[in-house]
Amino acid sequence: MIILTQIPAEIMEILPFLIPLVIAQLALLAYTLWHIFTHPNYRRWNRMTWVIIVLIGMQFWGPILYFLFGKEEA
Amino acid sequence: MMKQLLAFSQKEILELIRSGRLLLFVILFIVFGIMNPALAKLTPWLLEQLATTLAESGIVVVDMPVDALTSWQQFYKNFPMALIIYTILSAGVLTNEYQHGTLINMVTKGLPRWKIILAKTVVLWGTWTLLYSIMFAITYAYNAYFWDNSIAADLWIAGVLVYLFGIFILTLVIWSSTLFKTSTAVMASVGALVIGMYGISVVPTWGTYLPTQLLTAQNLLTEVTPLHDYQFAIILTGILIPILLLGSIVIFNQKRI
Repeated sequence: MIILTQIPAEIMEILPFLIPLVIAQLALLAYTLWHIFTHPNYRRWNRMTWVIIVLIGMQFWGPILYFLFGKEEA
Repeated sequence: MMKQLLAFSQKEILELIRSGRLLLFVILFIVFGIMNPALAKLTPWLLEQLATTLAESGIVVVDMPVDALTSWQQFYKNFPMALIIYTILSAGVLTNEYQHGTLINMVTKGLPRWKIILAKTVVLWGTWTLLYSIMFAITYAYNAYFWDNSIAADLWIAGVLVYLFGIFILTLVIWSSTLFKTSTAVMASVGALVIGMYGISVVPTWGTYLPTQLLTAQNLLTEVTPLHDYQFAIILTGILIPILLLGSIVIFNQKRI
Protein backbone atom coordinates (compact mmCIF):
# COMPACT_ATOMS: atom_id res chain seq x y z
CA MET A 1 0.00 0.00 0.00
CA ILE A 2 2.78 2.37 0.94
CA ILE A 3 4.48 1.76 -2.37
CA LEU A 4 1.27 2.36 -4.30
CA THR A 5 0.68 5.76 -2.75
CA GLN A 6 4.33 6.69 -3.25
CA ILE A 7 4.47 6.15 -6.98
CA PRO A 8 2.49 9.16 -8.19
CA ALA A 9 4.41 11.52 -5.91
CA GLU A 10 7.71 10.14 -7.13
CA ILE A 11 6.73 10.47 -10.74
CA MET A 12 5.53 14.01 -10.08
CA GLU A 13 8.94 14.77 -8.61
CA ILE A 14 10.89 13.66 -11.64
CA LEU A 15 8.55 15.23 -14.20
CA PRO A 16 10.52 18.51 -14.30
CA PHE A 17 13.47 16.42 -15.53
CA LEU A 18 11.61 13.90 -17.57
CA ILE A 19 9.71 16.31 -19.82
CA PRO A 20 12.66 18.45 -21.05
CA LEU A 21 14.88 15.37 -21.23
CA VAL A 22 12.39 13.52 -23.42
CA ILE A 23 11.91 16.61 -25.61
CA ALA A 24 15.68 17.05 -26.06
CA GLN A 25 16.20 13.38 -26.81
CA LEU A 26 13.33 13.25 -29.29
CA ALA A 27 14.71 16.36 -31.00
CA LEU A 28 18.10 14.68 -31.26
CA LEU A 29 16.52 11.49 -32.56
CA ALA A 30 14.42 13.36 -35.12
CA TYR A 31 17.39 15.40 -36.30
CA THR A 32 19.60 12.31 -36.63
CA LEU A 33 16.95 10.35 -38.54
CA TRP A 34 16.39 13.35 -40.82
CA HIS A 35 20.13 13.46 -41.47
CA ILE A 36 20.26 9.73 -42.25
CA PHE A 37 17.33 9.88 -44.67
CA THR A 38 18.59 12.96 -46.51
CA HIS A 39 22.10 11.53 -47.03
CA PRO A 40 22.48 8.54 -49.35
CA ASN A 41 26.08 7.67 -48.50
CA TYR A 42 27.69 6.80 -45.18
CA ARG A 43 31.27 6.28 -44.12
CA ARG A 44 30.40 2.68 -43.35
CA TRP A 45 27.41 0.37 -43.37
CA ASN A 46 24.05 1.25 -44.87
CA ARG A 47 20.94 3.24 -44.07
CA MET A 48 19.07 0.35 -42.41
CA THR A 49 21.96 -0.39 -40.02
CA TRP A 50 22.18 3.24 -38.94
CA VAL A 51 18.45 3.59 -38.39
CA ILE A 52 18.52 0.50 -36.16
CA ILE A 53 21.58 1.72 -34.22
CA VAL A 54 20.09 5.18 -33.71
CA LEU A 55 16.76 3.76 -32.55
CA ILE A 56 18.38 1.31 -30.13
CA GLY A 57 20.63 3.97 -28.65
CA MET A 58 18.09 6.74 -28.84
CA GLN A 59 18.85 8.16 -25.38
CA PHE A 60 21.84 9.75 -27.08
CA TRP A 61 24.43 7.08 -27.79
CA GLY A 62 22.85 6.12 -31.09
CA PRO A 63 22.98 9.65 -32.57
CA ILE A 64 26.54 10.19 -31.26
CA LEU A 65 27.72 6.95 -32.85
CA TYR A 66 26.11 7.97 -36.12
CA PHE A 67 27.74 11.39 -36.19
CA LEU A 68 31.09 9.87 -35.21
CA PHE A 69 31.23 6.89 -37.55
CA GLY A 70 28.37 7.13 -40.01
CA LYS A 71 28.13 10.70 -41.22
CA GLU A 72 30.09 11.28 -44.37
CA GLU A 73 32.59 14.12 -44.24
CA ALA A 74 31.19 17.20 -45.90
CA MET B 1 44.10 42.58 -41.00
CA MET B 2 41.20 42.15 -38.59
CA LYS B 3 38.82 41.88 -41.53
CA GLN B 4 40.29 38.65 -42.89
CA LEU B 5 40.34 37.11 -39.43
CA LEU B 6 36.71 37.97 -38.84
CA ALA B 7 35.65 36.77 -42.28
CA PHE B 8 37.38 33.42 -41.79
CA SER B 9 35.89 33.00 -38.29
CA GLN B 10 32.49 33.86 -39.67
CA LYS B 11 32.88 31.20 -42.35
CA GLU B 12 33.77 28.68 -39.64
CA ILE B 13 30.72 29.57 -37.55
CA LEU B 14 28.43 29.38 -40.57
CA GLU B 15 29.79 25.93 -41.39
CA LEU B 16 29.19 24.86 -37.82
CA ILE B 17 25.56 25.94 -38.10
CA ARG B 18 24.91 24.71 -41.65
CA SER B 19 26.37 21.26 -41.07
CA GLY B 20 24.02 20.93 -38.08
CA ARG B 21 26.92 20.23 -35.75
CA LEU B 22 26.10 23.17 -33.51
CA LEU B 23 22.52 21.97 -33.09
CA LEU B 24 23.74 18.47 -32.27
CA PHE B 25 26.19 19.82 -29.69
CA VAL B 26 23.61 22.10 -28.07
CA ILE B 27 21.05 19.30 -27.70
CA LEU B 28 23.71 16.95 -26.31
CA PHE B 29 24.85 19.46 -23.71
CA ILE B 30 21.26 20.22 -22.71
CA VAL B 31 20.80 16.48 -22.12
CA PHE B 32 24.01 16.40 -20.07
CA GLY B 33 22.87 19.42 -18.06
CA ILE B 34 19.53 17.84 -17.17
CA MET B 35 21.05 14.43 -16.45
CA ASN B 36 23.09 15.62 -13.46
CA PRO B 37 20.23 16.76 -11.20
CA ALA B 38 17.99 13.97 -12.55
CA LEU B 39 20.50 11.31 -11.50
CA ALA B 40 20.87 13.01 -8.11
CA LYS B 41 17.10 12.99 -7.67
CA LEU B 42 16.99 9.30 -8.56
CA THR B 43 19.83 8.34 -6.20
CA PRO B 44 17.64 7.53 -3.13
CA TRP B 45 15.30 5.51 -5.30
CA LEU B 46 18.21 3.58 -6.84
CA LEU B 47 19.66 2.95 -3.38
CA GLU B 48 16.29 1.71 -2.19
CA GLN B 49 16.20 -0.80 -5.02
CA LEU B 50 19.72 -1.83 -4.11
CA ALA B 51 18.94 -1.92 -0.37
CA THR B 52 16.47 -4.79 -0.68
CA THR B 53 19.05 -6.92 -2.45
CA LEU B 54 21.81 -5.87 -0.11
CA ALA B 55 19.70 -6.43 3.01
CA GLU B 56 19.53 -10.11 2.10
CA SER B 57 23.31 -10.28 2.22
CA GLY B 58 23.37 -8.44 5.52
CA ILE B 59 24.38 -4.97 4.34
CA VAL B 60 22.33 -2.11 5.62
CA VAL B 61 22.05 0.94 3.42
CA VAL B 62 21.47 4.11 5.38
CA ASP B 63 19.37 6.87 3.91
CA MET B 64 21.57 9.20 1.97
CA PRO B 65 20.56 12.83 1.95
CA VAL B 66 20.31 14.27 -1.54
CA ASP B 67 21.21 17.92 -1.99
CA ALA B 68 22.83 20.26 -4.47
CA LEU B 69 26.19 18.61 -3.77
CA THR B 70 24.92 15.23 -5.00
CA SER B 71 23.91 16.92 -8.22
CA TRP B 72 27.23 18.77 -8.58
CA GLN B 73 29.05 15.49 -7.98
CA GLN B 74 27.17 14.07 -10.96
CA PHE B 75 28.13 17.18 -12.93
CA TYR B 76 31.85 16.60 -12.35
CA LYS B 77 31.44 12.87 -12.93
CA ASN B 78 29.78 13.43 -16.31
CA PHE B 79 31.99 16.34 -17.33
CA PRO B 80 34.83 14.20 -18.78
CA MET B 81 32.35 12.35 -20.97
CA ALA B 82 30.94 15.61 -22.32
CA LEU B 83 34.44 16.94 -23.00
CA ILE B 84 35.54 13.67 -24.65
CA ILE B 85 32.52 13.67 -26.97
CA TYR B 86 33.04 17.31 -27.94
CA THR B 87 36.78 16.71 -28.47
CA ILE B 88 36.23 13.63 -30.64
CA LEU B 89 33.59 15.37 -32.74
CA SER B 90 35.92 18.36 -33.18
CA ALA B 91 39.14 16.43 -33.79
CA GLY B 92 38.87 16.95 -37.55
CA VAL B 93 38.88 20.74 -37.24
CA LEU B 94 42.05 21.05 -39.34
CA THR B 95 42.72 17.51 -40.57
CA ASN B 96 39.46 17.39 -42.55
CA GLU B 97 40.60 20.48 -44.40
CA TYR B 98 43.98 18.90 -45.21
CA GLN B 99 42.24 15.83 -46.59
CA HIS B 100 40.03 17.88 -48.87
CA GLY B 101 42.70 20.42 -49.71
CA THR B 102 40.33 23.26 -48.85
CA LEU B 103 42.96 25.42 -47.16
CA ILE B 104 45.31 25.54 -50.17
CA ASN B 105 43.03 27.92 -52.03
CA MET B 106 42.84 30.41 -49.19
CA VAL B 107 46.56 30.36 -48.47
CA THR B 108 47.45 30.93 -52.13
CA LYS B 109 44.96 33.78 -52.25
CA GLY B 110 46.91 35.47 -49.48
CA LEU B 111 45.29 34.46 -46.19
CA PRO B 112 48.16 34.32 -43.68
CA ARG B 113 48.46 30.92 -42.06
CA TRP B 114 48.46 32.21 -38.51
CA LYS B 115 45.00 33.64 -39.08
CA ILE B 116 43.71 30.18 -39.98
CA ILE B 117 45.02 28.78 -36.70
CA LEU B 118 43.76 31.72 -34.67
CA ALA B 119 40.27 31.71 -36.17
CA LYS B 120 39.94 27.92 -35.80
CA THR B 121 41.05 28.14 -32.17
CA VAL B 122 38.72 31.02 -31.32
CA VAL B 123 35.71 29.26 -32.86
CA LEU B 124 36.60 25.99 -31.11
CA TRP B 125 36.97 27.79 -27.77
CA GLY B 126 33.85 29.86 -28.34
CA THR B 127 31.70 26.83 -29.08
CA TRP B 128 33.07 25.11 -25.99
CA THR B 129 32.29 28.21 -23.90
CA LEU B 130 28.70 28.23 -25.16
CA LEU B 131 28.18 24.50 -24.61
CA TYR B 132 29.80 24.42 -21.19
CA SER B 133 27.73 27.44 -20.09
CA ILE B 134 24.55 25.67 -21.20
CA MET B 135 25.42 22.53 -19.24
CA PHE B 136 26.48 24.49 -16.16
CA ALA B 137 23.48 26.84 -16.23
CA ILE B 138 20.95 24.01 -16.55
CA THR B 139 22.44 22.03 -13.67
CA TYR B 140 22.69 25.24 -11.64
CA ALA B 141 19.05 26.18 -12.28
CA TYR B 142 17.71 22.74 -11.31
CA ASN B 143 19.85 22.71 -8.20
CA ALA B 144 18.61 26.14 -7.19
CA TYR B 145 15.01 25.02 -7.73
CA PHE B 146 15.19 21.72 -5.86
CA TRP B 147 17.93 22.31 -3.35
CA ASP B 148 20.32 25.04 -2.38
CA ASN B 149 23.46 25.87 -4.32
CA SER B 150 24.91 27.87 -1.44
CA ILE B 151 26.05 24.72 0.39
CA ALA B 152 28.67 24.21 -2.32
CA ALA B 153 31.78 26.24 -1.54
CA ASP B 154 33.76 27.83 -4.39
CA LEU B 155 31.08 26.74 -6.84
CA TRP B 156 32.04 29.22 -9.54
CA ILE B 157 35.79 28.77 -9.18
CA ALA B 158 35.44 24.99 -9.49
CA GLY B 159 33.27 25.52 -12.56
CA VAL B 160 35.86 27.79 -14.15
CA LEU B 161 38.69 25.34 -13.41
CA VAL B 162 37.19 22.41 -15.31
CA TYR B 163 36.20 24.83 -18.09
CA LEU B 164 39.86 25.86 -18.28
CA PHE B 165 40.82 22.21 -18.59
CA GLY B 166 38.48 21.99 -21.57
CA ILE B 167 40.17 25.00 -23.18
CA PHE B 168 43.54 23.33 -22.59
CA ILE B 169 42.42 20.06 -24.25
CA LEU B 170 41.01 21.94 -27.25
CA THR B 171 44.29 23.85 -27.65
CA LEU B 172 46.04 20.47 -27.59
CA VAL B 173 43.72 19.38 -30.40
CA ILE B 174 44.79 22.40 -32.51
CA TRP B 175 48.46 21.82 -31.73
CA SER B 176 48.24 18.12 -32.51
CA SER B 177 46.37 18.94 -35.74
CA THR B 178 49.37 20.90 -36.98
CA LEU B 179 51.58 17.84 -36.36
CA PHE B 180 49.44 15.07 -37.83
CA LYS B 181 47.42 14.53 -40.96
CA THR B 182 44.40 12.54 -39.75
CA SER B 183 41.82 13.13 -37.04
CA THR B 184 42.50 9.62 -35.71
CA ALA B 185 46.12 10.60 -35.04
CA VAL B 186 44.94 13.81 -33.37
CA MET B 187 42.56 11.94 -31.06
CA ALA B 188 45.17 9.29 -30.27
CA SER B 189 47.89 11.81 -29.44
CA VAL B 190 45.64 14.00 -27.25
CA GLY B 191 44.35 10.87 -25.49
CA ALA B 192 47.88 9.58 -24.97
CA LEU B 193 49.00 12.92 -23.49
CA VAL B 194 46.11 12.99 -21.01
CA ILE B 195 46.74 9.36 -20.03
CA GLY B 196 50.42 10.23 -19.68
CA MET B 197 49.57 13.07 -17.32
CA TYR B 198 47.45 10.70 -15.26
CA GLY B 199 50.40 8.31 -15.23
CA ILE B 200 52.71 11.00 -13.86
CA SER B 201 50.19 12.03 -11.22
CA VAL B 202 50.59 8.61 -9.61
CA VAL B 203 53.75 10.10 -8.05
CA PRO B 204 52.55 11.93 -4.92
CA THR B 205 52.42 15.74 -5.20
CA TRP B 206 53.45 15.71 -8.91
CA GLY B 207 49.86 15.38 -9.89
CA THR B 208 48.94 18.68 -8.28
CA TYR B 209 51.17 20.54 -10.76
CA LEU B 210 49.60 19.11 -13.90
CA PRO B 211 46.53 20.37 -15.77
CA THR B 212 44.73 17.10 -14.93
CA GLN B 213 44.58 18.40 -11.35
CA LEU B 214 41.90 20.83 -12.57
CA LEU B 215 39.57 17.89 -13.14
CA THR B 216 39.47 17.27 -9.39
CA ALA B 217 37.97 20.73 -8.84
CA GLN B 218 34.83 19.17 -7.33
CA ASN B 219 36.87 18.72 -4.14
CA LEU B 220 36.63 22.49 -3.75
CA LEU B 221 32.87 22.24 -3.30
CA THR B 222 33.19 20.17 -0.14
CA GLU B 223 36.39 21.97 0.87
CA VAL B 224 38.29 18.66 0.83
CA THR B 225 41.09 20.36 -1.09
CA PRO B 226 41.99 24.00 -0.44
CA LEU B 227 42.15 26.37 -3.39
CA HIS B 228 45.91 26.89 -3.14
CA ASP B 229 46.42 23.22 -4.07
CA TYR B 230 45.33 24.27 -7.54
CA GLN B 231 47.67 27.24 -7.91
CA PHE B 232 50.43 25.43 -9.79
CA ALA B 233 48.03 23.58 -12.05
CA ILE B 234 46.26 26.84 -12.92
CA ILE B 235 49.53 28.67 -13.62
CA LEU B 236 50.99 25.79 -15.65
CA THR B 237 47.81 25.43 -17.72
CA GLY B 238 47.72 29.18 -18.21
CA ILE B 239 51.30 29.10 -19.52
CA LEU B 240 50.85 25.98 -21.65
CA ILE B 241 47.82 27.31 -23.55
CA PRO B 242 49.62 30.29 -25.22
CA ILE B 243 52.77 28.20 -25.74
CA LEU B 244 50.80 25.48 -27.51
CA LEU B 245 49.04 28.09 -29.61
CA LEU B 246 52.30 29.77 -30.58
CA GLY B 247 53.82 26.35 -31.29
CA SER B 248 50.86 25.50 -33.51
CA ILE B 249 51.38 28.65 -35.58
CA VAL B 250 55.12 27.98 -35.94
CA ILE B 251 54.59 24.36 -37.00
CA PHE B 252 51.67 25.22 -39.27
CA ASN B 253 53.78 27.79 -41.11
CA GLN B 254 56.12 24.99 -42.25
CA LYS B 255 53.43 22.44 -42.91
CA ARG B 256 52.48 21.17 -46.33
CA ILE B 257 48.74 21.56 -46.53
